[in-house]
Amino acid sequence: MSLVSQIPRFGTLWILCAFSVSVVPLLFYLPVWLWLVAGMAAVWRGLIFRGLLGLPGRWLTFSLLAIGLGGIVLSFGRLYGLEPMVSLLVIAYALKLLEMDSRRDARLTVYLGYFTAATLCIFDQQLTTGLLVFAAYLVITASLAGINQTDLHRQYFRPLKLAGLMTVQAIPLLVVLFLVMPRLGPLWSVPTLGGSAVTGMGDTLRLGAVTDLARSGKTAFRVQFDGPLPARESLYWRGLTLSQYDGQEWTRSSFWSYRRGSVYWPGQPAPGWAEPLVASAPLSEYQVIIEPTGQSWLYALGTSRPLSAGTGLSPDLILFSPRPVNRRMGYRAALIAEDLQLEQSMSPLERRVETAVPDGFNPKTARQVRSWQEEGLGPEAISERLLALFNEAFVYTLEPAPLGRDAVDDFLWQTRQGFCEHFAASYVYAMRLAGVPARVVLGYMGGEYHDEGQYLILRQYDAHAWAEVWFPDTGWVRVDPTAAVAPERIYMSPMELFADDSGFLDDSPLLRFRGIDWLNRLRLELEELEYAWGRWVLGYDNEQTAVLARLLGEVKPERLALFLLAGGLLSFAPFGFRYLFTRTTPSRDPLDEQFVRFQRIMARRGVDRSPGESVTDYADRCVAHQPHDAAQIQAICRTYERARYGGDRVASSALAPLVRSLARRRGRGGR
Amino acid sequence: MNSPAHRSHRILDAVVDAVGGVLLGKERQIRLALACLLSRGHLLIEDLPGMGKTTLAHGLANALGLAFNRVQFTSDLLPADILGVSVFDTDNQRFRFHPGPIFCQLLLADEINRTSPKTQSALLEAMAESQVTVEGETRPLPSPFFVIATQNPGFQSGTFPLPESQRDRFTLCLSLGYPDSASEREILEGGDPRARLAGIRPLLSQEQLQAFQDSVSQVKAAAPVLDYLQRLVQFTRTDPDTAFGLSPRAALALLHVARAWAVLEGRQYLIPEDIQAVFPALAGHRLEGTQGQVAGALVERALNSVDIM
Repeated sequence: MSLVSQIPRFGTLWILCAFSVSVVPLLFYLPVWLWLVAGMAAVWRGLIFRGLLGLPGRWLTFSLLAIGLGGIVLSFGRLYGLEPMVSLLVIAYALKLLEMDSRRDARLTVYLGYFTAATLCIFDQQLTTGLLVFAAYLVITASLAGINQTDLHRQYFRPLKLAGLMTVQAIPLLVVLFLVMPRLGPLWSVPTLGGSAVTGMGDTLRLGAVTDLARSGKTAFRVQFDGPLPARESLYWRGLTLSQYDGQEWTRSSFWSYRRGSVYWPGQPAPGWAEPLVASAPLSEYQVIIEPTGQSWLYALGTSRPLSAGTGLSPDLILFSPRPVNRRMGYRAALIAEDLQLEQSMSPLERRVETAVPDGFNPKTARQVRSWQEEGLGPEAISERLLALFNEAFVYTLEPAPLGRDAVDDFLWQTRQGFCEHFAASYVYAMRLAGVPARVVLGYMGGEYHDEGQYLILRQYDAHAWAEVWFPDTGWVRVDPTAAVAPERIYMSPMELFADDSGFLDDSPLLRFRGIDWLNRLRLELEELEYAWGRWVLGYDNEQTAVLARLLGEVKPERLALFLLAGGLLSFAPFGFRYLFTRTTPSRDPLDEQFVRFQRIMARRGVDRSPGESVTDYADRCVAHQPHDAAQIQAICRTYERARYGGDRVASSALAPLVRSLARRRGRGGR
Repeated sequence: MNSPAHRSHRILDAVVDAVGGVLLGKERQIRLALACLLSRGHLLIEDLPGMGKTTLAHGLANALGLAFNRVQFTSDLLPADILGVSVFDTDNQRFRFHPGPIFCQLLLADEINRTSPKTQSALLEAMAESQVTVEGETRPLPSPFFVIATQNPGFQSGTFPLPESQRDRFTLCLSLGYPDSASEREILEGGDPRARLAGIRPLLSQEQLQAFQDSVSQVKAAAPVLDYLQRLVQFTRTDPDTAFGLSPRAALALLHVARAWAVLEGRQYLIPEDIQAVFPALAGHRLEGTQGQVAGALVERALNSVDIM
């Protein structure tokens, strides 16, 4: 093979580095066996590099590809979808690494690296991921430089330096493109499989589910209020109402499915039920930045009305987005009231939905409720009786005893210990037995306020379940049975409450040490950074139009083009300047540079050197023209000759000061 | 300031002064001739008769203490007339070699273009090899061996001008030219030039001359100077007005003579000026214009166009 198309040896090393940094972070999201594939490819390439193994033949490559395809189908059950496709990409990248034989192949491999590293952004958009991808790009660019340089075989880090320089030079362009490029929403909203990478609550409630969340310190969402912060005990972030119960699981009723015409969309004519919401003045506005949940519902406080386009409000006052939240997103909402403000009337169909109870479960509870009704207690009184019961005899714990088939019976009359969901679900069940419309609400409660960032942060351990009950004279009201048994759960953060509980915050070690001051500050700073990243970089879509309008006045295609052009020019300006200034000094020898400087000084005074003119002749002419600087000029020329041609070290170091001192002297006599 | 370089510089200056005392107003040519000698090259002087060619050769020979011979080349001169001939010695009953005038240290080959090419070749061969082969026997020439050939300009009738390939064997080609009026007046007022020539005493020994010749190759030629030399040579090769550029042999000769010039200047390193000083004498007889331009113009253009940096 000709030398030109060979891959420089240390270029291969850089390509291996690029392969590792772009593939390893992805592997955490993909099936485990891909670790093996990637590792094998890297080791094989390493052996090829050492000359211990040859390149795989064509048939072997094809068989490996076929095996990889088979593995993907086996793992995912399909070939179409994000994860299968990314897996395929990783396999292709690994095989290309083995196939790489010429410089052309190497270049292709590098480009594959760019693409592969970028796919990481589909899985996760945190600041750390951004930095990771950025670092990966640096290494990949270094590998690109590595395969294109042959004369630097021994300067292993030179390509990285070069890549860094190139990256720095590209930053103005990056900023402009970031500001101007239209956001292609669907590209980043590719649904991920199963949401395994996403923590958050599911859309069903089976007794025992919320407790898992309660041990996690991961961020659920962040809120920034325009006005004052509401009191902690009214910070109920509603996520989802569950109205359907089959004896085991609470699910969302199809009654509340987002029927066309019943949903309120900001900026569109409001359906009848939402008219009072639109008409009333909001208490304040707030912005929520939500982490990916893989679900479509959003979280809102009390009675809130969405303000951002693309977020809807269903008649049970649930905020949702038509597409599942697969990446971090931001939305704004107006707070109308901290409690619920819904129509007081209830249609017979709705009443049937909200009071339905499956037959054949929990006979003991049914008997008890019936006896209360026979005592002549009304809905409010039964509710009070239940809450009093909770307060008297129940224990709040994160590790309740298991419950049997008749879960509510077991909980209410036997174990009598549980977490919010036990209380909420049992309460709603009992109220429904009494014929009172009631439903379970899933959401988050409270939050931690950041003084510096002026925002509220809700973590997974803030997840909560409570009840909503409909009374004829008040309509829907929020009832939190947990408050009856453990009021501190409402007034204290779970942080303080469960600090001693084993397993709590196993996934967020930094949170555990909030007692240590500087660690706590560090954690808050990191949160701050992450929040800014989410708000200003990821959430830029919402602001793009406004920012562009502020920058350009009016957003017109020709102004955008000019703006882009300006960014490009800014990127290339350093090269332009360099080109301009090096034109006059083609030689880079420092002594020559000094002499050229001397020539420039003399040229300003009117003595130009012609190309063939020797140093002495030029010096003579300069002296004739500027006799008052004769000594200086002679010294410079003699020193230059001695240093440049005679290799005199002392003269080398003496030249620059001589030229400087001449530069300081003002030329007299003129021309 | 009593370094060896400086001392040699003083001695060589004295040589130049001594020769300058008889060949007035031609210091530059004397220096070039001396540089040519120090670089172990040979000199061609192209000029009209009576301009002082012989005086220069003789003066140099005297000042350097060299054995001097002069051969007047004529159209009937044969190689054996220069190289020598074996004559049968009746006393010893064997042939004895009678060395020709070439067995000397400084040979003045006067009017070399008047003789036949055959004889010219014999001389040039001896110049290149520093030895002569007569009747199958190779005999070395004395050292140092330096030839100054003179030539009448080619347009004079009855001459055999040297072909280009043979002119290349001469390191430098000088022309003395008419003296300026002041020098001429001094010549007219001065006494017998022959007597003055005879009055020049050797200023240095053979060993010293040898040492000077050896010191030429010690002169440091830094990369930027070599770059300049290469650019200059390259220019003659790419210049559209020049028919043939300088050969690598010419480039090597240029470097040698320039080094010798640096020694004359008392410097231990080469500067572009040294190259510029010897370049016209070195390139003038080697370059030829495509449309009959004067070689001097081509040389000057090369010197003016090529940047020293």
